[in-house]
Amino acid sequence: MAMQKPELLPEDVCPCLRTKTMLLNTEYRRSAFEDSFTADTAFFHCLRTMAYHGPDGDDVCPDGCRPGRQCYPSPDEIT
Amino acid sequence: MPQEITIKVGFGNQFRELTVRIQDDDVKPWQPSDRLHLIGQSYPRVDAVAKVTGTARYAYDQQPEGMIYGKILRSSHANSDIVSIDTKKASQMPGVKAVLTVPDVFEDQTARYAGAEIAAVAATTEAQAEAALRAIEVEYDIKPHSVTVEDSLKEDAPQVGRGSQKNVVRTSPRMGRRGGGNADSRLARQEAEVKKLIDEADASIEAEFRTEVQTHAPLETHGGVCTWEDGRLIFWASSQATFGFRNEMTSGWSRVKAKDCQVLAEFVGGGFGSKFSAGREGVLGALLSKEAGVPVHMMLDRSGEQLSAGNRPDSIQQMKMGVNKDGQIVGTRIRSWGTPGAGTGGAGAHNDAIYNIGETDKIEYGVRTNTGGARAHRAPGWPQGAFALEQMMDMAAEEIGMDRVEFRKKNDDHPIRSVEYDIAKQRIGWDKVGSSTDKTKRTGVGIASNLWFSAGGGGASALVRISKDGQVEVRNGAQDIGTGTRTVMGMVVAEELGLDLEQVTTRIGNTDDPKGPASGGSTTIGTITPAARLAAHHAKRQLLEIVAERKGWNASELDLKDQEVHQVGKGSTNLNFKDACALMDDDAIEVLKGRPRRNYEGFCDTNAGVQAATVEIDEETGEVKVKKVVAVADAGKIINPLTSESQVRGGVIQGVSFALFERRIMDRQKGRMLNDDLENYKILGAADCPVIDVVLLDVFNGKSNTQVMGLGEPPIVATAAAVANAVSDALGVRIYDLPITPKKVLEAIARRDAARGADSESKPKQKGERL
Repeated sequence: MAMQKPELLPEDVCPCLRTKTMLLNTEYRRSAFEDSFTADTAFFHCLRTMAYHGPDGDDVCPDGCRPGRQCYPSPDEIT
Repeated sequence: MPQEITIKVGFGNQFRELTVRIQDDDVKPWQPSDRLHLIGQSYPRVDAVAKVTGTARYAYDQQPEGMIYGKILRSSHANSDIVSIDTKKASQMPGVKAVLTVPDVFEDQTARYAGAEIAAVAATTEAQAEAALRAIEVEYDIKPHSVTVEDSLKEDAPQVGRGSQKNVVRTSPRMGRRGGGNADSRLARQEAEVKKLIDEADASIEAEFRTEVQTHAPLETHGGVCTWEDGRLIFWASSQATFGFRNEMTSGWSRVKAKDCQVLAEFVGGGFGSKFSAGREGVLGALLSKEAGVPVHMMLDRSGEQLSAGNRPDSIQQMKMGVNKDGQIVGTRIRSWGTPGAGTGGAGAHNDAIYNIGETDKIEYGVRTNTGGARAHRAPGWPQGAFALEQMMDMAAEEIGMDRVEFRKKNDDHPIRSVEYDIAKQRIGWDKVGSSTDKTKRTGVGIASNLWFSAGGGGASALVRISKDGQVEVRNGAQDIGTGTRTVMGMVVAEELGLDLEQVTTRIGNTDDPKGPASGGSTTIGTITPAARLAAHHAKRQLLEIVAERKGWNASELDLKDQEVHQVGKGSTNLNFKDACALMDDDAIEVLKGRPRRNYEGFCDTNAGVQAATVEIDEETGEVKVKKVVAVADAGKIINPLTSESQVRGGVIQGVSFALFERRIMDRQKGRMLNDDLENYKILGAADCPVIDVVLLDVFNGKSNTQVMGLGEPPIVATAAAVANAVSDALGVRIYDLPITPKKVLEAIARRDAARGADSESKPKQKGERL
């Protein structure tokens, strides 16, 4: 089943990644991905595990949920 | 078509003119000279009666026909892998309709804290579901655990995570992908530069501060009631993000994969940052309902809530600050550690904001523990950061012999806060807080500040419907988690249409209605109300066009005021609103408008706030009583002072609770939370509540047509810090750890008295004495 990638995710971050700021207004939305703050207070979870670790057991985070990771969807899964 | 207009922005006696380009058919922000009949007046919540009489129906109250009950089996081990789960016996027990396991649903064989989900059952009665949970047989591979930051930091600490995961990870500053260059060498350079500044400063102070994990404890627990109708999932959810919840249910990446989903959250019993996601309980509820073929009630019990529904991470914050004799802070070094549970991200602290603290060398570490995961919690990172920073501010002021408030002003250029300091001082009686008449009791006063930054933004639409019979309705699908969104949205529409609040019906909390934001970042009202006003404005113009055509008037000269059609410069036409509506040919005018995506430049990008607290401390028992908190707050234009005050009071109450009572207690040997209920997890009660004096500043900031800034989170930022500074002022000795329990107070008094070399009764405390 091919699934569209949410428009809010930057670059090639895994489409299963979710975080609070993705649900907020446009001026706030990208703050979690852009290090807008000097404090790390963003939480990221995976839609597949609904946890802070992915199916491979490793952390869910914008820097880590990228192509090459074992649980990253294959290209034909993403449209 | 963008339009350039000149508006007045500011507050009090600080107004200036500003030229802004308004977008998307937007209306001009309200001006100080506008005669507003509702905005700025206090109105009780429109749903107040429903809430206090019990007729408001929360997710928990839903009982669709044929509903059964879902329950979750949780791990009793702090760190384990699931070897096998046998559900055969449970499946065959009376009343059981469906059984699911976590490894099957979530591709997860691990249980990384005591309380982690293992399996779920749906049965006809709650008792049958609980009995079935007990019949599930689980084989665990039990591993060593660590449930405190101190234990996880040890060199021989057991591994909390899996694979190559380390227990401690640098989480901020993030310099991984985009930083470029050599991050370590840049941090080393920064460290050396700041060290030099601090070493060369006239004075320096240094301390370590600690805060405890504060678990989420909304009155309504997480979860909801769900059912499937012709492939469509209907979910009455206790959620602070109806559209986010729907997204998780319909995403092809989740296990639910609903083709269509309606989320209903007409009333929500609190969220505080923990209800953005459907969570595992939401997914399990939907899948149990699908398998059982009937509606399922899946709400967490209180233990599950305290264990798994999120918390504010703890913190260890080491700070060193260099300050010159003239009061200028030249540099600050910060190292902090905190645990968000078995992960590492999110446990940072905002201890370098609010004031200008010079060059900063700051590094944060996330520490894995086998504990329930943290989530956003009302102003994530701010109360714990302010607790440390504000005490450093007091200590630095004392070190150079400067008044505490003057020292803050010296390092603060916020245009609104500069006024708020003096209001807070005056209202708390800063110079009059004297000694208690009881010789065993000490009194003190403390001050601290807030900072927030959200005026809302694009991402919301509102539908306004004016019916031929004069009924008016406004709809938005976002939720009201107790903040008063429903009331304020109705007020904005009523104001625009020249009506009373009770003439407008507000529909909220239904994803079949126009899109609204999640209630996060204190952005909800700032995001929704400009859309509501814009829709109301254009609905009004359509109505006035009809009136003008029928009456032979000039539409551009008409407006609605005091429930009548008015002509500019001439006053009332004596045509009332209802009669004007009756002139329509169609049944109704419906206008759907989206909020402009971008905010205007405005008066100030941030809102401020200052709080001052007085305490009385019994030196024999160690009990701290917060007597009064003055909370000076600003949030752009104040739409409804009553609901705004309510938000501030709620923040202060939660802040005092954080300061004096709340902490998650972990059994280090067993790895379990010991106070996963509301009997042993102490939260401030009515008798512990101080007098709260709320002062609201009305700021025309110009950033949107309603000019609302965030108010849900900022009032909690300063409270614990102000209380801690008041405690220090009272005792003459500082307490660096939250919560400030009687035990810590008595230990601090003993430390103080030992340092003075005399009994405290025979040697009165010295105000400002540092120990």
